[in-house]
Amino acid sequence: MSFKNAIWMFILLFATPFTWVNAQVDIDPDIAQVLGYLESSVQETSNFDELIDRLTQYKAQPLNINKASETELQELWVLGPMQIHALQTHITANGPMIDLLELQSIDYFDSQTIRLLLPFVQLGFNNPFSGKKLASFFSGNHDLIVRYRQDLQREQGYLPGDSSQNRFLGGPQHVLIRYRYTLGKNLLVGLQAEKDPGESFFNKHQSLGFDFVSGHVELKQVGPFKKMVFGDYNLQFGEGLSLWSGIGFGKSSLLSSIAKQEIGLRSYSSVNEGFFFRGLATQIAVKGVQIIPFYSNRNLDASVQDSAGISSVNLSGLHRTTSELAYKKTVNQQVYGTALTYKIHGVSVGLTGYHTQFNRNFQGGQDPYNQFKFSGNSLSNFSVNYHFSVANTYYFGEIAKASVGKSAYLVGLLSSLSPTVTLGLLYRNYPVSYPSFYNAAIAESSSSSNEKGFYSGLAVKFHPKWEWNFYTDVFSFPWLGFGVNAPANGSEILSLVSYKPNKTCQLQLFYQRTQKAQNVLEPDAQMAYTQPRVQQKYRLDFRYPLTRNFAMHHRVEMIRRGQEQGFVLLHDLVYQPLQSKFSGNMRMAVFNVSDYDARIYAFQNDVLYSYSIEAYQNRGFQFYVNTRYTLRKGLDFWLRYESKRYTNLSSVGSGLSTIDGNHQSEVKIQLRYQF
Amino acid sequence: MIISFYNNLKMKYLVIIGILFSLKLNAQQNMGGRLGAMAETGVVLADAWSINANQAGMRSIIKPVLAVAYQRNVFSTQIVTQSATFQLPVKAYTLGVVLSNYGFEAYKAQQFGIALAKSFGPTLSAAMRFNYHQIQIPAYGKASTYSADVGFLYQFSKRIGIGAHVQNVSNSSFANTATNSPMPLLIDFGLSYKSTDQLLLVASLQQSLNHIPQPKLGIEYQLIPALALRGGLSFNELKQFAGIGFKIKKMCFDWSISSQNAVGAGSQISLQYEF
Repeated sequence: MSFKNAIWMFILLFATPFTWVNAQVDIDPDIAQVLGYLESSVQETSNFDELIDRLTQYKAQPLNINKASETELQELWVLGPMQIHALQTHITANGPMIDLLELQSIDYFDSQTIRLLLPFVQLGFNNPFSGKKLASFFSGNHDLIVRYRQDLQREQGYLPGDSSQNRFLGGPQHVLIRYRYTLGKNLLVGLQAEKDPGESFFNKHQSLGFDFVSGHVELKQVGPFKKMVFGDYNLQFGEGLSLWSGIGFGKSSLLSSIAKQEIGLRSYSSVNEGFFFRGLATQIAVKGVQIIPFYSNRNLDASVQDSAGISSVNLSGLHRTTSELAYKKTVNQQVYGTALTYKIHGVSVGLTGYHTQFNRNFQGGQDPYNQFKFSGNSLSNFSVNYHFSVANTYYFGEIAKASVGKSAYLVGLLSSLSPTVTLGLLYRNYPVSYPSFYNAAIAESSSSSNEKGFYSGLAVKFHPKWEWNFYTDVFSFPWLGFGVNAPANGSEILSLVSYKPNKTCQLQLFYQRTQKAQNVLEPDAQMAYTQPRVQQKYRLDFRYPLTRNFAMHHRVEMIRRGQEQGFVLLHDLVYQPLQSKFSGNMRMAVFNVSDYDARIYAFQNDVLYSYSIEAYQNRGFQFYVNTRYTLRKGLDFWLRYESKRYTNLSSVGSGLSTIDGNHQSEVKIQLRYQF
Repeated sequence: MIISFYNNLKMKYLVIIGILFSLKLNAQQNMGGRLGAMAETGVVLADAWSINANQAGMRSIIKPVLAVAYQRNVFSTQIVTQSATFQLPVKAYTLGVVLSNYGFEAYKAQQFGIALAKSFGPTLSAAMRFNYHQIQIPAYGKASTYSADVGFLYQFSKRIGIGAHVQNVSNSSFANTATNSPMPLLIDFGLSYKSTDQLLLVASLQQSLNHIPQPKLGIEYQLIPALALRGGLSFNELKQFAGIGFKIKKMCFDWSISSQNAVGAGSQISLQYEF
């Protein structure tokens, strides 16, 4: 980002007439700080519920750093494996910490990491309910969230049509209920239910009410069972090459994220209807060996042709029309297996084996690019992973094989070359014939298949106030891909410079250049050929406090991709007094994006547990206001209004989601009751 | 001081072999296994191969040194670069000579250079180099010309160093010959950051008159005194570098490898003996 652009941004900023609304922030700024590192890797499909959920929990009930397990520290995501190792070594060697300032003296803990970490940890004692096995049910904590959202404009699918036309069967409301009960550290009960807009609600198509219901009962520390989950859960092992459901972030501007932080078994608290397990799983610890056996039995949405079998699995979880309902739960999937982890002298070795069984056959790929797609009705996966530290270097890797196809592997290291410089290297090789239904290993493409690549990254802290994160990734796709008619290669460069003059002020300069092959079809040509396509992204981001209670956030971001360009300028005003029943925030954004390919993603504030990602497209203006009011202790109320006005459209959306006119707006209400 | 030499030799039957001339002139000289592993960020590095990268770096030589290097530029071709250099420090000066040979059977380029570096106090050094170039294409004949380079190195602080270098400051070319081929004028600027005694980071920017600037990054990690690990990246187009260096008594052995998506991989080794 050039200086000229920076000046321009400020001119625009002060030229924009601000309406000083007594608005609120509601996503926690400490959590927003952590999420900021993920922004470079955001996609529409990204799901941050789980991470936000974890962080919100730890913010409310900080982790006792002296007693935290490796898994618990990993769950925070802000600590890299070397830091976790150094922290635990420090506590073992010197005894429990007596002041969090001690963190500064631990290897690899720089001021930035400590700042990210502090909101989520404490030195304090364990939860008072812990260990009280006979404590009554009512002495636990209940947490209930009810959320309601509705678009203010009618989409095409809600308008009356003739009988031949497909229409949404339900109303435009989005309703979500989330309940959680915790009894100390031994019992956790969760239930969440969701109705998406357009889905039926308590009528002939959906007599149970909610279209999606998920729940779990989790018991901890019962005899040899460290954990038992009945209901819905996620499993994450090794580097995500073989078995990893739920969030699994890819490359991000946080260097240490190339080493995955497995959390093993965790109960499921999201309403994402795609990847999770339903059944029973438990974690047993016997003499340094941790064993997680699991069984899952679920019905999936898929389009099935009787003779040929399953052509595709639908993960969206939307059941709004008769045709979408026809796909609902058409295939049964059973998954069972075991993961073993053995830790000795700082070396951790994990073995994962599991079997997936469907009650119908999958069709193989019909086109050249997907001819290696999984076919059949069962698959076994097996993998070995490891990680260990020697001197200033952390090594990790995983090799995985399925009952068909070739094996895939990745190896990597993170090395602290000096107190201020960290190096990360990762090599991966995922053959096109390697199948796995649950993978999230570091990759350029969305699955761990048909890719080879070498990643090298550096994190340099030149000065306590200055930090530079940088990586390049050079990759190749040995087989064809969707929309890419030939084997291809490409590269990615990312650079993020952060300047933090003080605790509350931050300036970031971001640059990303991606080069990938893309099909080009000349007029009159019989077949498309591939050509490298370069995309460059520039971002300047500035956060600073305005007064004691108000803070500002500005961002200007540009994308150039061939002839296509995207531009977003946004301003956030955050009101967050220390002691007040009100808090909140608002955003005004101007965007001008010439093409879908040049869309720009940005995090945006939302009601608690709902941290959304906006993909700016077309040309227009966005405004939202997000407020929170604490009615009394434990009872909070949120209200959010968002409006987008497009200047180059006469209708918004496509298909049944089309809205007449250029205005799109929504209202969201949320109530949270903790008792 | 800029000195120009004018080419007065003419050639009649020389043909441009596209791929060779499109390679930059500095690809026709060895950077050695160390600078070559650090993305050729030699403008701000100092070792015997500074004689090809930034002659001011020759002031780091404290004893007479002899070095040879061999490079397979791209494995899939027969192109080879070979160099030998001898350097002699005398008080505040270092005098060096270098002979380079680049190409393959059908195209050969030789270069002979003589360089002088001088220290101005403990933090600043400057140098000049004069070159005689010759191209031979056996089927057609020969062409030759002269050129000059200048360079500076400045140790800004204990950790930070700055380097600048202009190659072919005389803007010579083979333009008056039948080849009509240009010889690029290359301007390099670099920064080095010594994070600890073990770790060196370098960044440089190379600009030739008619090309987009090329940023480069290099890193060297001294694992133990006898063993160094190195890596580098240059952008536009992205190229990756890596290498390893051994030091046993008076001998240094350095090896590097480079890889670029569209071109392929290449490698270089160099040996250095300190008298």
